[in-house]
Amino acid sequence: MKINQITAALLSLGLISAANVAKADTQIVLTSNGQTYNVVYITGSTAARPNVFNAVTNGVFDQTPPTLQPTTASGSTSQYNAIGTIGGVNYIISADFTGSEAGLGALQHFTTDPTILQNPNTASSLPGYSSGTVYLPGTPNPSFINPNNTSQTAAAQADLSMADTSQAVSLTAPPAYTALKNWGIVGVVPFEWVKATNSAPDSSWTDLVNVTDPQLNFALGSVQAASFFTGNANDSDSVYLIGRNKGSGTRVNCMLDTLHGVTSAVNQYCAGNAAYNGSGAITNGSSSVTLKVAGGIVALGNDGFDSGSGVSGTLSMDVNGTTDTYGQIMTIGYLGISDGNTAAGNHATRLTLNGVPENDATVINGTYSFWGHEHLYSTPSPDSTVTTVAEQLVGANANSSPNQSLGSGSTAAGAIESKGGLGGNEVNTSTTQSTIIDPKAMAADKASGDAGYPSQI
Amino acid sequence: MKMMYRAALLAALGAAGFVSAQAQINPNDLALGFTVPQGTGNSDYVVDLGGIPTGGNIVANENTVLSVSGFNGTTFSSVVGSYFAANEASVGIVGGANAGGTGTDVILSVLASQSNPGTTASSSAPTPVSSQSALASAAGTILSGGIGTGQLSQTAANSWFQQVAENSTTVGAANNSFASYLNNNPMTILNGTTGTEVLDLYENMGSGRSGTTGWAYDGNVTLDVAGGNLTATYDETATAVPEPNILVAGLGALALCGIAARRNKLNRKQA
Repeated sequence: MKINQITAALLSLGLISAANVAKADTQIVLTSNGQTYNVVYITGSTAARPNVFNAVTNGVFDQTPPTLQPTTASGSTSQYNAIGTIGGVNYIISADFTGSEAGLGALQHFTTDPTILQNPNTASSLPGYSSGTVYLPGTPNPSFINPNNTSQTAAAQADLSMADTSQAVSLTAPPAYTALKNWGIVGVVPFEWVKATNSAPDSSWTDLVNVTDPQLNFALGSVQAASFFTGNANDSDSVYLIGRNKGSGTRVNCMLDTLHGVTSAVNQYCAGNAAYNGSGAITNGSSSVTLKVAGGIVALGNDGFDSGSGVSGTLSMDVNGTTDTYGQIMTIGYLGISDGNTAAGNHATRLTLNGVPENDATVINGTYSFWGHEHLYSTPSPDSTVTTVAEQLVGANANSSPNQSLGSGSTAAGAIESKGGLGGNEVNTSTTQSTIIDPKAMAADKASGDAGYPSQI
Repeated sequence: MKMMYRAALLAALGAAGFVSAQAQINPNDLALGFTVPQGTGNSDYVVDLGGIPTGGNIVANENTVLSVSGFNGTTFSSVVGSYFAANEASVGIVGGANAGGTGTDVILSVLASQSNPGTTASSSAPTPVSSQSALASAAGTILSGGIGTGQLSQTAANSWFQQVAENSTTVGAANNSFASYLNNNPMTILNGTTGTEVLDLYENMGSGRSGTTGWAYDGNVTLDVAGGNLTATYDETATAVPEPNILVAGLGALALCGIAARRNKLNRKQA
């Protein structure tokens, strides 16, 4: 039995409601058939969500597909249960994907105030604002669907987490925090920069087609004139940055690629029609309106969206007519490929980074640098049930020798590798943007883990 | 039962309120950092001194005592002790905010002249910084958990050693640090003989979309760590506005003079 001490403390403080708290067990009896099931809780990267879903539904259980709760669960679903047998033993894989950093933080199973996971509301003008202590959604513990009552969720300590980086470069890196068990690299997860459309483009918008890491380093600090990026002194639009909160692996990779620093605070923005939800996360209003109609731009400081969909939604808003002291403005943001596709489908435009477009070919050959290593982590000493699921996902040898390599040296051999729908092996890599690339397909790697820039291998 | 007791204890402490080694520096708080030479297992020690005292009670030479409530002398001595005596420990003060525009702000320390720890700057102003982004990025390295407080391993991402500066001559070990963004290092060698230092504080703020105000002298902080105890006193710049009670006293004296004069006038008339 696992009782969440932090949750109990927060409950007694009134910081979270009793309705959100339930006792979590590693075993549960399904009332539908009276059988006992091992429950393994997985959280972490939302970017890896579709690939993990493919793996769980096609390559982990004895039956394909397993029983799903909800039955409509898909690769874009954050909370679901997959129920079936593994090696003839009953298992429930219960998922709540909340972000890489949130996932790594959740695996710490904090017993004291997890200050590092606090994420205070920063925009008092937005509905739902609270001045109290707010933690990253999904922390200190994620919430999972109750398999006996799917209309309920309960907080539970996570067993496994997908992460877009290694723990070594995370907010909860050792030695300050407990070293987690690394089950190895299962893929390469790329990201991209996008600018929102302007239906009446001015020279700033037209000229800004490329960004560089040194420019972005300072754009993360404060608003820049478009001329800072374009070199054209006449490009006077202010460029506002749309991004993620500190629970995001996308953000960590952005901080690493731009050398801004993983723990450094940034200045990010959202649309005026955004609001805080009950978990303290910024959520978008309608993205089918112009940014001006949405209420213009609102400063979030070091906060950002808990989901990439918030960034893509904001970047889907036409900026035409939105102004500040210096005139027309622009918005740019960083996203995973799936969310970038959403924004691009709403007329946003992909930017090249350091002069290089994002596609599988440029990631594979190392000319494009904005990507991370997708890892699977668990608590330091996972029990046999967690080990069973982890080995199904990443390969039986991962327990003793987790994959640390890209290219021909990769030993990733689990369901994510075989059934996860990884990219990079297609013929037309230069016109394909995969959400996660097969580690075996890579021809470049970053010598110092996730930090630094890639070189060919 | 035991776990529930612990949870209740956490609740009693206030989950957001108790001091831990991972506490965050709030915008414009003064963070006092001590570093020692790089070495396996070595740590920094960081104390949040709170904000620069403001308001009508602050006047030149008042020497306002700053809060050092998070300071633990035993831990501090274990971290800094032997290096302190050998003049190998460094100390500095930083602060800032990165809210953008005029909400951007950086504070850093420069060693004051030991012979003149008065209310005017006894040091040279830091190297000019004209980029607001540099200020915001520098402030960002220490805010929102960028650095913690208490004992912090040199290798921890939120250590002073990584995020601010390694010592008085080397910027932070992270790719970008407070000192590297500003091209100014706030650290100085801690005097291992006296255990005291006077640090002048300079402040540079955002102006407009991308400009800065330039460095301005804020006052100085006198530190004393002799004996493993820490005291920090703040001395406002000499241009401070007199505190209200002095003004009131002055106005009262003027009023009394007026009353006395009126009485004298009346007395003369009555005479």
